[in-house]
Amino acid sequence: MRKRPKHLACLGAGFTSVLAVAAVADSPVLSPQIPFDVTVVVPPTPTLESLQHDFDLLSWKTFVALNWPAKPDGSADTDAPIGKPNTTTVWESWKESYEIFLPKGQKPVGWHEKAPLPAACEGKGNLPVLQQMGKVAGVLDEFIQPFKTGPLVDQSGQYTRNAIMVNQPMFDDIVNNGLYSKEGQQAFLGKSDNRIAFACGSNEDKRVGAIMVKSAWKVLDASDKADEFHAVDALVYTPGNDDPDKGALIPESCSAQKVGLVGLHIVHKTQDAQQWVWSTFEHVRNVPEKTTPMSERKGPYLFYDAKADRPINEPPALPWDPSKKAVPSQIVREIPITAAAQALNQQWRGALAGTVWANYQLVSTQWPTKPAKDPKCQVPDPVNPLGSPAPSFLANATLETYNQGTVPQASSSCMECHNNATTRVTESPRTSFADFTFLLERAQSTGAKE
Amino acid sequence: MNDQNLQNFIELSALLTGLSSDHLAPSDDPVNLPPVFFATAQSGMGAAAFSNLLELFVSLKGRPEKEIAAAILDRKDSPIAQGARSIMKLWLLGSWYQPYDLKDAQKTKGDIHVVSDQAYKESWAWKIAQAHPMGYSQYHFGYWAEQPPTLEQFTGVKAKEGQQP
Repeated sequence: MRKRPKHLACLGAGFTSVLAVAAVADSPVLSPQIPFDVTVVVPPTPTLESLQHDFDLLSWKTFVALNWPAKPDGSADTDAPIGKPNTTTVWESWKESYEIFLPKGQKPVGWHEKAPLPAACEGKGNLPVLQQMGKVAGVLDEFIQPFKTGPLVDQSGQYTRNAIMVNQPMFDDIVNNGLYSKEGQQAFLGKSDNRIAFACGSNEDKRVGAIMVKSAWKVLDASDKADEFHAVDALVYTPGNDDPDKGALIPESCSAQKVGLVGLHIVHKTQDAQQWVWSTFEHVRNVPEKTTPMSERKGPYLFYDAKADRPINEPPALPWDPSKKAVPSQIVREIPITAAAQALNQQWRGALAGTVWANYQLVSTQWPTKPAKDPKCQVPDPVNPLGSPAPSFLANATLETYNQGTVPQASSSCMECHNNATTRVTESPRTSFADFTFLLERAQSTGAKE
Repeated sequence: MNDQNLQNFIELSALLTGLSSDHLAPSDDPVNLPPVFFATAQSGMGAAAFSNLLELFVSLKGRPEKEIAAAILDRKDSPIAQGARSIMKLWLLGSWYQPYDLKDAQKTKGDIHVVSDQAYKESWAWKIAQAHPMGYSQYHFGYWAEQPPTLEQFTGVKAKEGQQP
């Protein structure tokens, strides 16, 4: 029998008191408490499979906690059950990226203050805005996917929209260190001891770390049953484009629409997973799996039509114009959900029965098998900064639709991709490392002279 | 392949490469190349020669490393020695160098094939060079202007005196 790796001993240490509880209480407990870190069930010896289970469990617990109804101050309303209709969830009270990385590198308003709406959305209601501003402002940034692989179109011909939210520990790290502007990043990283390192969750300190949530939404229409989705009224904003070199000519628009959640990434930095834990969930009706026999592709799916003869997993033809109806995407999941994850999904969806959240499933969780071990959670591992992710590849069919697969450096791997994220100060590895978030590339210049 | 045969293959590979079994086959390896390399070597050498190599290694377990190396490698033209050398290259380069003709299996001496993208990416020559595979790097922008980590950090093997640390 092979030796138990040292880092697993490290992961297991200190957890013995909770392990017995974890082993007994494997049936889902719905709780508004966000887990601080992974809980490793040690006996007899952790394996890749047992650790994957531990991280998948962490994903589900986090999913439940983040989707708990929130009070007006954004904290979980522990008097309300999960799934209470017409409530805002915890993560939806967090800050969207457009509220943090403002034009001319302005300082964001405080955590509890509401950021100004885009001009086109003013007077249309106090609703969340679905928009993403890219590092280079571009009209397509809010609905295209990684590496500009293309938008996802639902069966009604509407483009899917995305949003990125961060929790308060991450927001505070960005604001308190001035990372919301290019010049702020330069000043912060100008000090030789500084590096980008967001807060870590910790079981020992009972502390939640930095969390990012990326969500994908479809516009609901008469063909959808709104009660099958976590559905909200949102302002769907499309920045205008009058430069033909940047894509289709599109007028600026903002309209209130009912949208339904179809995809959700949850990314949590923790002491035992300093390369972050990457959990991804989808609506159960999104797509069939590549291995699903044609005769079993009953659906109806949100992003696949069993009767249509269209190429699989191909982006729409250019130019991409969200103001016009497009040919629906024909999407399948390239890497099937594992049997172990399906079994866990069955348990948790069962526990959530009667709520809208029973309609969502965990695709998988990516985590570092060789986590960085810096006690302060700041310095990447010099030899293996990526931390040997497991599984090696992971994609959400709504968020990495067109780069699913198993080709290194080309197919979707959350950690591999985000390890390439940089700050606006690419002078050295220390200054360029952005701690696995592309958000810092969105920081704009204040225009101040360097 | 059974677990014991695979374990013997890993231990043999550790001896041939000078890298520890824990480095070659971590218990929580999501890429999990050892069974792939086992199957590649078995297919490339032919089942009989591969089995002979493992049996010879098992019979020598516990002897001094130099003695085991001599028993496996000294008869340079034997399938065992040639296969063992190809196994070294397999771990170091992620490619199989066909050591001799295997007519039944339509394999020709000198043929080379990259086992897989992961085999290329994870092969040990890059780490021994304290570098990264061509076309694939996990290091952060500007890493090329800084000293690489030590050989020991990459491989678990200390550099010898006078070598790049």
